[in-house]
Order: sequence, then C-alpha cells, then structure tokens
Amino acid sequence: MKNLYKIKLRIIMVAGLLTLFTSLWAQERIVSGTVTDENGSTMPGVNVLVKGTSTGAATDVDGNFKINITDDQSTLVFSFVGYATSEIIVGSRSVVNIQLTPDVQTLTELVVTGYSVEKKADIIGAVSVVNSKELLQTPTANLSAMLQGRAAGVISSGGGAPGEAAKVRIRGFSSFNGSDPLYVIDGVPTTDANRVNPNDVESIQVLKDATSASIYGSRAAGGVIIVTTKQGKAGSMSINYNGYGGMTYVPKSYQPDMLNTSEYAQYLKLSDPTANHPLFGIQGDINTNSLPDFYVTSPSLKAGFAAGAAEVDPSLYTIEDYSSIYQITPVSAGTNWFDEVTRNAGIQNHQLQASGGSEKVNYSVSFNYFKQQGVYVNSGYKRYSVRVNTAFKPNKHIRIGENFQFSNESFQNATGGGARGEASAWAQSFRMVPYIPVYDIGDANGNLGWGGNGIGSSGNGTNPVAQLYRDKNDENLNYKMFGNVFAEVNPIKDLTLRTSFGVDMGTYFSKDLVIKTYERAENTGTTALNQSTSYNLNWTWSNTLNYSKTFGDHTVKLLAGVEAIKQNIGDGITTQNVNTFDFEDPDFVSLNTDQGIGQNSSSTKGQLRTLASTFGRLDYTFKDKYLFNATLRRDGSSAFGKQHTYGTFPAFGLGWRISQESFMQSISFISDLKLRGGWGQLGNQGPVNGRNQYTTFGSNAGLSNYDINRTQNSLAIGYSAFNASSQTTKWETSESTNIGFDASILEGKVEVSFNYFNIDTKDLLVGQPPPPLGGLLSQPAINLGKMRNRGFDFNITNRGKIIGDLDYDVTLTFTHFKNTAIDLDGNPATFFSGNASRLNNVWRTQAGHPISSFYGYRLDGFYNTQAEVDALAMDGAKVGSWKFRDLNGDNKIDDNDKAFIGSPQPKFIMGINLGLKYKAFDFSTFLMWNYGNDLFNYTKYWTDMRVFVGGVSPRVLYDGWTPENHNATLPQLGSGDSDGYTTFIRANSNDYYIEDGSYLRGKTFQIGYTIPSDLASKIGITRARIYVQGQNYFTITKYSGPDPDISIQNTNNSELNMGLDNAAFPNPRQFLVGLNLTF
Amino acid sequence: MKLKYISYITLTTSLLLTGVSCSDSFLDTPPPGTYSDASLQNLKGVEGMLISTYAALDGSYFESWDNNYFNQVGGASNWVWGSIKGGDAYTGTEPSDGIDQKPVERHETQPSNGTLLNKWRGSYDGVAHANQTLRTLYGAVASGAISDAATAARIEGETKFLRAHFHFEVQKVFGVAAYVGEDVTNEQLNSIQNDHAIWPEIEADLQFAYDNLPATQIAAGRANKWAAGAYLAKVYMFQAKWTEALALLNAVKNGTTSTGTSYALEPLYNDNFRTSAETGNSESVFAYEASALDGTIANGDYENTLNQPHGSSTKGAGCCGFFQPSYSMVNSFKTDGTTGLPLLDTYNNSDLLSDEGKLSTDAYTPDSSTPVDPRLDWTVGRRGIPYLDWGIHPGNNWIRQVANGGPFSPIKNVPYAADKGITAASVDWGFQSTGINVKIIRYADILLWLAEAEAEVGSLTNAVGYVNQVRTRAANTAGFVPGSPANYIIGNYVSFASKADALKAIRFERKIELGMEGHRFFDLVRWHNAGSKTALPLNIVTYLNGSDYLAKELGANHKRNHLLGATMTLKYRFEPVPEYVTTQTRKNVDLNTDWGGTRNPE
Repeated sequence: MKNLYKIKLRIIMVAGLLTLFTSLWAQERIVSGTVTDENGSTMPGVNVLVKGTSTGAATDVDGNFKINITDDQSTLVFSFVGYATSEIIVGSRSVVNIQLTPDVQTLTELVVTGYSVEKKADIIGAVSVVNSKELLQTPTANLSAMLQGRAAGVISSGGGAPGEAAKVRIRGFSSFNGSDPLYVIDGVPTTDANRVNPNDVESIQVLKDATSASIYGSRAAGGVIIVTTKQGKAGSMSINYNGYGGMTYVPKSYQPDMLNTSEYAQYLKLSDPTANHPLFGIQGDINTNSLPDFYVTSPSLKAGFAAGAAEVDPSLYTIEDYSSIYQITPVSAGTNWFDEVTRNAGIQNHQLQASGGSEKVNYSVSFNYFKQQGVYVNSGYKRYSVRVNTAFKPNKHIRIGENFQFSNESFQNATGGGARGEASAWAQSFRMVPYIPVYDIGDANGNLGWGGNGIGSSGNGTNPVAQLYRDKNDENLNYKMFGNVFAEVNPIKDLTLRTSFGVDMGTYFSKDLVIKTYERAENTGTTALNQSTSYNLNWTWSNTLNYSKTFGDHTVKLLAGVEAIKQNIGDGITTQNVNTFDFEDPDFVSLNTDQGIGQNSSSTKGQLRTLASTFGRLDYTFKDKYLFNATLRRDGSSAFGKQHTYGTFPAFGLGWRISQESFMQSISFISDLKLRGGWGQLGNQGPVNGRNQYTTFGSNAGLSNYDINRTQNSLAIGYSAFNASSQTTKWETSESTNIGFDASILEGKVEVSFNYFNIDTKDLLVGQPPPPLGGLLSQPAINLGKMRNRGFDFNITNRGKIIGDLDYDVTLTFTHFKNTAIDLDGNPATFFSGNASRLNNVWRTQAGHPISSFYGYRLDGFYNTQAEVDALAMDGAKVGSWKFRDLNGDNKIDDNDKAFIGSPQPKFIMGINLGLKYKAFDFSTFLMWNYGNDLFNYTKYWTDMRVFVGGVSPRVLYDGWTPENHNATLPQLGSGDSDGYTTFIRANSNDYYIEDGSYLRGKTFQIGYTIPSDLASKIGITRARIYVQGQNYFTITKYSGPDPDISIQNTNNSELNMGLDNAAFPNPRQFLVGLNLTF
Repeated sequence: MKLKYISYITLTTSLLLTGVSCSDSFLDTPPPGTYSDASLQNLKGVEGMLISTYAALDGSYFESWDNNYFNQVGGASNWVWGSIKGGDAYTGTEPSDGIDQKPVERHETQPSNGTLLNKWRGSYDGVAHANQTLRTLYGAVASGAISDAATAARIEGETKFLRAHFHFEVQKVFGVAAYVGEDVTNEQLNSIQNDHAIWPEIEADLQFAYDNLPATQIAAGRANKWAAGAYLAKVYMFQAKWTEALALLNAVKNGTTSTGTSYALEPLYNDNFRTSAETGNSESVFAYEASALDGTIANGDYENTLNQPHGSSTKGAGCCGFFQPSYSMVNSFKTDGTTGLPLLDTYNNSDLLSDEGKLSTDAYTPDSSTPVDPRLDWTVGRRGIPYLDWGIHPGNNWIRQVANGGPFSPIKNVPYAADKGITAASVDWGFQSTGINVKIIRYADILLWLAEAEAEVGSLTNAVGYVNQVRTRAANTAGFVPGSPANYIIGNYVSFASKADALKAIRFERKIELGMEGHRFFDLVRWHNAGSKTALPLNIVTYLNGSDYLAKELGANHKRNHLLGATMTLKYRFEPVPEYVTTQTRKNVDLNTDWGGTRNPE
C-alpha cells in the first residue's frame, strides 16, 4: 500500500504545483537539470520547488526538470520520499544537476498503518518498519522465515525445510491457540504469510500494540504485519532481474555422534551377554562369535555369515516375491545414516519484474521461479508465481486498480522432506542400527535392494534412504490466488473514499503412495494410494473514508470504515485405496487400476465463518507537537452465539514530540525526541470454529459406524455427536499498554526506538478440556483464564562514515518478554499437559508459570548403594540407576515430586545487522542471538534411553554409571539386575532432556559489488550488482541437537507444546551467488 | 461538478451502509453439511445413534500417532487391564514400547499415566453415546416420530445394556465410578460425584434391558434379552451375589443367541476365535463386532492391532509383538498324564520347555511328552507348533525381543492367513486389522459362572457338571491343533470334595478356558473382594506376588527383567482415578481412599 500512497501523493502534488506554475507564469528564466540517486541512476518524479515560493516542478521519466526562477539567489529544494531534502542556490547556473542521498532520518517516511498512511514522525503506536532489502537477504520461499530478528518485538523460529513457513510471534504469546499475526497484504488480510512472493514485497510494517493495530480489531491480537507489494512508478519504466543460485547443506557438526558397528557390538555384549543375536551367526552368541561379513534375511533363515559361506552365495539372492525373499546384505562398518539421507542441495530464485507508469496508469508485472531441493534426498519445493499490479487514474478524482498474485507450488515428498518426528528421515537416521547398509548386494544384474532390519533384533526403524526414495513421487500441489481490486474517489479535497474487494483462494491436491516393503522388521504389507483434494475461498470487502485537514495549528485526520469477511474452507475429498495393484510402478498405480477391495472415499466437511465490522479512528495533532489518536472497532463474528456476536475494541494513544518544544532547541544533538504511550484492547476469535455455537452430528466410518450385522468386513451407518457447542463463548480480549520513545540523535546518526509493553489477555479462548465424564467429541472453544506478556523491545541504529568512503550502518533489535499464565479457570490446580509422542506429560501449563513449561522429575544423582535404594522408594530403583529428587521429602518418588523443569521461552532475542559500504563494494551481515531458553531434547529418548533397538549414543557406552565411576551421566549399562535403565526412569519426563537452548548464529553475510554506472550504461544496463552470500554460516551454542532454532516451534499443533526437539529439521547452511540487474 | 461529488458521496455511503445493514443475516452461518439433533429425532436417526453406541465398544478413538493417545487400551478387550495385569501375558515387544503400559504391568501406575485416561475416556465415551441415543429416542417418542412402543423399548433396552457395560468397565478398573444418566447436561458433567457405589444403577439398566429386549434380534451383533441377563448375572458375580446370579444364570443358560440359536459351546474350541466360524456361532453371548477391509482402520479390532507376532518379512501375520503370553500362563496348561486334569498346585514349579535363548536357526525340538491341555496351543503361539494356518511357529524370528517379552506369541486375536484380504488385512504402516470379534461374554463364561455359583451356594454335583461341559468340548480331538507334536491329555473332574476344592478347580478352569481374553485380573479382584462371602477367600496380593506369578517369573533364572523390582500392593487392585479427572472435576470425582482420596473402593 505504501507505494500506492506515495504515488498518489506525488501525483496530487505534481498536479497542484503545475496549476500554480501556470498561474504564476510571469517570471524570469528557466533552470534545468538532472536528478540522480546515490547510484547515479536518474530519478523521475522528484519534486523541485523554488524556496519561499510556490513555484515547483517534477522530474520527468529521465530525471530531468525545468523550472523558472526569479533571480540568482533563488534556492531550489529537491525532495523525494525516502531521500534527504537538498537545497541548492542556483547562482548564475542554468543547469543544476544534483545527486540525492537516501534519507537517514526516516521521520518523513510514510508508513502504512491501518487502512491509511502516516508520517513516521506522527506515529504514536509501536510500529516497526522492516527493511525489505535486508529481508530479502534470507533466501527462502516464505516471508515468515525472513522476519527472524529483523524487527524488535518480532520473534520467529524454524522454517528450515523447503517452502516451509516459520512460526512468527509478536511480543510473546497472546493466546493459547496460536497467536499468528495477521498479515495484511495490499489491504487484504490473511494469516498465511505464504500468500505473497517475498520478492514482490516493497515494504513491511509491523504493528505491535493496540494503538497501532486495534483498527484491525478482532484479528489483531497477535499483531499485524502489513505488506505492500511493488507498484509501478509514474514516469518511469524499468525492468529488473534479481536472481541467485547456490547450494544448501546440513553441516557435519549438526549430526549427533552415534556408535559405529564395532562399538555397537560392544554395547550389545554389555547390555545382555546371554542374548543370542541373529547377526552373530547361526548360534548367535555375541560373546564368542565375531561380526559377520554378510547377513541373510529370508523367511526361514535370518543370520550373519562370514564371506564365502554357502548361505551368502549371490545366486541365492532374490527379492522378486516379497513373501519369500532371500536377501544378502553386507554388514556395514557403521553406516552414517545422516550422510546417506542428506545431500548438497541446489537452490535457485529468479525474479523478473517490469514496472512503470504515467500519470494515468502505472503497472508492475513480475514473474518468479523459486526452486529449492531438500537437503534430504528426493525432496524439494518449487514455486512459480506471477504478480500483476496496476492502477488507473482516468481523472484526478478517481483511481481504480488491482493487485493479484497467482502461484503454483509443489512439494516433492509431500512435505518437501520437512517432516519431523519419529518417522522423519532425521529420526530414522538415529533409529537405524549402524551395521545395516543402505543397499544389499543386489541381484546378478546389479539391481540393488534396500538394506533393512528384517534380520530381527535390529529394531523397528526404517531405512530412511529407502523411505525417501519410495516417497519421491508423493506430492502436494497448491494453486493459490490472492489479491484485490480497489477503487478510490476524492469527491472533495481532503476526503478519500475507498472500496476494496480482496480474494484469497486456493485449491490443494495431495498424492501419497505407500509402497509395499520387504526389508523391514515391520513391513508395509499392501500398496496403498491416497489422494485428496480441497479448496478454500475467502473474501474481504472493505470500504473506508479518510478525511484529513489542517486548520492552523490543528491537524485532524478521520477514518471510518466497514468491512465484511467471509471465510469458507470448502469441502475436501479423500480417496484411499488400500490394496494391491497389478503393476506397482508408480505410473500405473491409480484409483482406476486397484483390485477393487478396500477402496474408500470420504469427504471432509468445510467450515464457514463470517465477520462484519465497523471501525473508526481520529488522529489529532496540535502544533506538530502534541499527538493524540483514538480508535474504535466493533466486530461481529458468526462463530459466537447471539449474545456474544459483537465485540468492541477501543484504543487511544498520546504522543509528545519534546524536541519541538522551545526548551529543547538548545540541546542540539537531539534532532528528534518523541514520547508516546497508548492503551487499547484487541480481540481474538482465532481458534473458534464456525460451528462453535452449533451442536452437530455426523457419520464417520471409523468412529460411528459398526458391523452390527456381523459381516466382518462392512459397516452399518451410525450417527453420533460430532461436536459439543457453546453459546457463551465470546471474544478473547488482550489489553495492551505500550510506553515508548523514539529519538533521533546527531541528525539521524543514531536512532533509537524503545517500547515497554504489558499485554494482559483475558477470556482466553481454549478448546474446552473434554469433561472426563463426557464423550470424545470435539469440544467448543470456551473462555478460560488470563495470561500476561510483559517486556520491552528496542532498536538502535547508528550510521556514519568510518573513514573516507567507508560508510557503516549498524542496527540492533532487542526483544525481551516474560510470559505468565495468570489463571486458567479459577482453579489453581487446573493444568494442561502435553505429550512428546512416546513420552507423556512433558509440558504443563498452569497458573503462575509461563505457558508451555517443561514438567517432570529432577535428577538427583544415582543410587550408589543399596542403603540409598532402601532410603528412597522409587519404582524399580536399584544400584546404578538414576535417582529422582524427592521434592516433598516423603522418601518416595511419585507424581508429587514432579516440578517445572524449564521453559522454552527465550529471555531475549537480539538481531544485529551490520552494513559496510566502500565505493562499489558493500558488505552486510546479520547475527541472531537467542538467549536464555531451555529445549527439551526428546531425541535423547531414542539415542540415550535405549527404549527401542536402534542407534545408540556414545554416552550410553562410555558415560554410564559403574561401581567405579559414580560421577556418570547415564545409568549403568548392563543386563538383569545390573541394568540401571528402569521402566520408571524411561517412562517419565525428567530434566536430563532439558538443555540450554541459547545460541548466537551468523544468519547471513553478503558481499556485493556494483558495477560503476558509466560502465554499466555502456552495455545498456542501468544498474548491475553481483553478490555472494552465506546463510547460517556459524552457530555458537551448547545445545547438543542439530539446531537450537526451535525454541517456539510447536508440537501437536499447540502453543502449549513448544520447544521440543522431535527430530527437528535443521536449518541448513547455504552459499549463494546472486545478480541484480536493472534495465 | 457539484453533482458529481454528491453522486460519489451517495454511492460510497450507500455501499458502506449496505455493508452495515446486512451484517446480521451475514453473520448467520449454520455449519454446512452436518446434522442437528432435531434432524435425527426419528427412527433412522435414533437407530444410527444406537449403532454408534455399539461402535464405542472398541474404546478406540484414533487420533494422530503423534499425541500418544492412540487408544488401544480403552475398549472391551481389556488385554492390558485384565490379561497383562492379571499375569496372563507380558506387555511384550521392547523394553519401552508401550511405555505407559509397563507401569500397569508392574503395578506402579501413577495418576498422571496417560493409559489410565484412555480406559476412562474410552468408557465414558460409550456412556455419552448411550445417553445421547436415549435423549434423541425420548425426543422422537415424544414428538410421535417413533410411535411403535416395541421398537422404542428395544432401542432403549439395547442402549441401556450398553450404558451398563461402559459403566461396569470403569467400575471394574477403577473401583470408584461415577454414574452418568441421560438427564445430565453437558454443563453438569463436571459436578457429578463418584460418591457411591454404582452397582444399583448398573443393575437397573441391565434389568431394564433383560425385561424389554426380545430374545431374537434383527441383527447378529445386537444385544438380546439373554445377553442382558448374562451381563446382569456377571454383575451379580462381581458383588458375590451368588444366589441371585445362580437363579438368573439358570434362566439364561437355556437362552439363545440374537439370531435364535440355542446357546451351546461350539464343538471346536478355536471356532470362537476365527472369523469364518462367527456366523451362526452358538457360543457368542455378546461381542464387539470387529470388521476389516471396510475402508477404515479403526474398526478392525483396533485394540489388538499391535498384538501380533513380529517379523512380517516372513509373511507371518506380522506386526509389533505386543501381548506375549507369560510362562505362568503357559505352565497353567500342564496336565496330569493320567487324569488329564490341571496341576492346580504344582503347575508353576517348573517351566514347560521353550526355545528361549535360541535363534530360529538353532536346532529345537518341541516337547512332545509333557501332557498339556489342548487349549494351550489355541491360546499361546510357541515354537514348533503349527500357528493357525501360518505354518510352524519359528520361534525367535517371530518374536520382537525375546529377552524382554519371552518366547511366546498371542494367537486368539490373530487372523488366519486364509482370511487375509477377506476379513483381515495389513493396513496403514503395516499393522493388523481383523474381523475377529472381541468376546465380551461367551457361553463358556456362563457355564463357569454357573459352576462357581453352584459351588458357593448350590450343588457341587451341578458345579462339576458345568466345568466338565467346558472340559469336554476342549477334549474334542477334532479341535486339537492339527499336526501338533504336543502331547494333549485332558480329562474331566470326577467330583469335587469340598466347596473350596470346587472353587479352586473352577477358578483355574476360568484361567485356562478364558486365558488371554481380558478377564483374569478382574476375577482375582472379585475373589479377593468376596472375602467373607466365599468359601475360598483369595488374597490377590499374595497370589500375584507369590509363586503363581511374580515370584515365579522372577525366580532363579530371572528371565523377565522388565518385572524386576515389581510388587503388587493392595491399592493396585484398582487403578487410581486419572489426575486429569480429579483435576477437571475439582475432585467431584475423587481418588479412592487407598490413593489418598475420599471414596471407598468397591
């Protein structure tokens, strides 16, 4: 939006000035000249004014202007948004050329806030402006992943997988159910940042408090991110190409250490010397037999053999018929599964944009192609998107335009390889035992089969390379359209009426082929094809009226509007075939070629929700010093019952530009100082389903249907309650107070913006905890409890010259907040707990603690003696096992000894952006420092607790308790009575899993070179810049998992389950070479 | 120009006003494509709701794999609560697979254990389905949409039968249940208290069903009059109301199945556990009717989905290796070579030969001399014996981790190879879906209750007759595992010398006839609780810790490391009310006194 307004202002000014120019046509001589920017490119549309007069002009397409002056003492004033205003005394010259420099004092910058645009100097809410140039230094398909550390108060985490969105939170967690910010893209709201191609972004503003955001009322509780896409500029035409290509990979240092095969054999001997293990041959004695060279897997023979044995004669090999395979597999000395599943993956991005315009029309057309191979083999993401933004201005009263993006994205391997959890490639890489290789010996023709654990006693992991290969044809295909059509009318001066109709729609298709396996311990017995498709269609119609007028010292701005939103998640269709096919070739597997049994189609029912709102805002400024604004928005939502349909959300703010006061004029180093404060309420209906107020019934084959006729393979249809309803559910309200100041020191050399905030969320919307005596139906959202986020954020920028032509620019953003659940439902005992896949109750959210706190027992050393075992009762306790801390001192360990053992919420997040510029060279780097949070390293459940047969951490073998070493990390490794790993230890969350999640990461560095403009122009290029870039180029952390950047990542889709490392997808390291060209 | 301005303003203002004025109807968005209570207040709707109440018998509500409440312990099979807790079997598989079930096995659950909540909520889900069915039924009757009184009574009877079952499940496992009737509103749910024993309410629901249900039903899976009578008798048995039970059982024993077949033991023992013998089955009194290949994964006996032999690369039934029979279970099938009677006191003195410690490639000859009850090999899969039609059980190759779960496989819930693709399938990532029903009450159960009630308050002669009916069927050589090398010897009791002797034999007969069927622990608890009302008091703590179970399993050769340190204490005869329940209800539903709560366990 910002640009629309820029352009509009410019056009109005130009038009106005031209009128004056005509009327004053009586003067002496004409001065002409050319205006160029800091790169030497000509600048169209620059305002030129003769100081002290109303004579003015604007530069043309080529940056040229002509203006009449009265005498040689005339001073020309050149101004352009985003550039410092320059004044030049004409003297005797008839040609005045000038190079403008970018304005470092951003006070005059226009910022798009809610439904309008304001000068930064006039803003009294907490608004962060994100530099879109810096933003684009993060090479990713998704805008949300770019926001990390870029604005004070904004935290973002994850999103390392191709095409994946990061989780973004503004000032903490305002809701239990996900406080995703509202993205307003060219005026159209959405919660999906993926709706815009980041390369099209012109500017981003983040509205962080009620004063700035409450105009968005019910949807603004998580903050608002306003995105404006690139518009054509009047009077110019340019074509830009931006592209980069490079490589991404997972550094070796991210991989956890695992035992190799010979260490693993030693581990087996220690863990059960009496056990026979098929790998060790026919007798399987792991004490006397040595590791074999090969192992055989067949229905009747599963054992290891030395090379040359008759059983490993390659001619016996067959995997033709999965029910009677004879697989011969070489024993690996230690497969590094992490190396096997990852690769150096390519990434490329090409953006071509043409833009331009005249007084009557402007346009911007862009095409983008982005492709990122997954760092996991056979995975990836690609996207094509096209954007067309145009605006028409047939006369000075009317403007009509549109902004639309169409995109097509596809994920290979369903999620682009981004799956987390037990089944993910990363998890399977530590779940596989080391002696299994990726491939077996293969048949006589050299066709290799997959190595697997079908030999038995090798765990239930799956060969992750095989899995990724089998899923290579799985895809998710999304087609999305997003944009709006708008019209603006200026019926009288100072009044703008605007209507905008926005559409956010998409269709989704997914295909998942589950292929029969043969090499595993637990094989998939049938090939199945699952396909599903669905769509959504949301529209937003908003109508606003903006009035702005200055009377002497008083400036008044009024905004009034109405908005209607319809969110329609359409029906989806899922078809599944669980049976065999004549041809298992993926190309031949379709729903048409199945064998007829076990085909099942079902539909998912859509959801409908509407929102109708009226809103208004008054801004009042006295003498440019005293600023006041008040906002009121009333939202009605179809999700609430009749008594609670509407919510009203007020806000006001006050600002005082102290620097404008006369007593401040003597303090020359302060160029600008503004104190501001505000209070307001924001609403939230986020998690409330459209059917919340309706009790519905349905039929679901798995849950309500039943084989009452004893057919053993078919069902009678049943009906059951699908969801319970609530008529009393109402808007969640967060009340936010913000106090801050903005200062500009030494004429913009240093800029500081500081905010203190307190956000109290009341009537928290929570999915009603199912009544323990009720049924297992979906529960409505209800209002429970209260939560607080309190903290401060600031950013400091310092710019200047180090020496000569060496310019620098440093920006630091800092965010600190503390989140506390004040009350859940009036009962202090009430809590919400969360489970980590196979380990229960690892989270607890309870009054008085931060949400999503980690919960469990505390380690208290070991049971070193039998006397210690007798003194403290713990189920299964024995010498050599861990001891948990007896918190209540009753000499027994039970539920009452559990405690809050950590929090995933960081104490602060800091972003440091450093830029250097020397002549044609530029350098920038961006560092992220995340400090003071804990992470729950659940991967240790697999690698350290020996819960399932699988890969084992060296800690188990080398750092376990022994009678000699009581100062160990893990319990005693042994068998029977000497096995210190008791059920109780394994089954309970404890602080062994808790690790410090602090990290400092070099997110980005970029070194660029801009070809001198005279050279460039010779080859017909306006501007050319090449750069090299690195991403995630270093990380300093004590965290032992691959990537600590998961602090606020959710598990179980719940805001109350954050910071668990469930085989997280590590943010890869990237190196790129890029090129920017402007014609 | 003026006119133009005015028209702009008028146009835009009217647009704005349009937006405001239509907002009330704009905000009225009933959910698309769903039913309301009103639309179901008719015969089809109510019948459908009754079907869904039956569907709740499996206790499974399939949620995502990631949240760990893949509920495989919430239904009627009670493989954890009855069989594993009672010593029939180990959890099996690997040391921490089913991590929350291990504490149940070891008698050391804490109220926070998620498995408890699965059973609790799986049961109350059924109650909620039943109550919704009743409410909708009453609405349809009141409005005249259902006018046939007999139909209404049948639906009400079936529903109340099911509601009694679900409440009974909670009562059995937790000892302190709260009764929820159809008049309780959603808002009142958290204020219901578990402040009294709910036996009267359970009995009333079953009595209603017994009084109102027809003997012959319109579908094989429906509860009929006799099923209700049998269930009511079971509830009497749990309260040691021998006399009431005996009277009722005497009526029920002459009853019929829902399809009108007179109750009788199936000639072949294993016909109770194969889908091909379910149609027309004369022994199934009431069962959860499982179904496979119906396009779902939740209906195929989801509770037992992972309770299959491991190692499917060998084309075995193949899955996860849970629910492995214990040595004590296996040893219970040893018989006296002369009389063919079980070794009531000495069965656990030594272990029947097993292949533990051997790989499948190691030589092993199955024991063909020690006399065993033929039901052994229909209850336990063991090496060297034909395993249904899957071929000879190969031992280790089909066991996930012998060192943990022992050398035996479950079998009663495992489908035949020939049924694959018809009434059984490997689905999803490879677990088993089968149409094998979960027998909640079968006729053998009724006969053994009869025997028990007769022994307590009636005739020992009658008692021995009932026991021998069961044993005679087991002795049918046509029903022996075909091709088995085992030495099957089984004989009948001649007479019982005393009530105590009779009860000892009857209780043991229940163990072997109903082994692995989810009943054992509850039997032990009711015998323990019967205390003063029985001729043969039993102390469950002594029993489970002694040579009948833990002392044996952890004896000299220490095979079962996962049980090391486990001891059964009295408070574990009932599981604690889950932490979630006491917290959410603010202790309206409280723990029992053994657990520091205020409720008396029943």
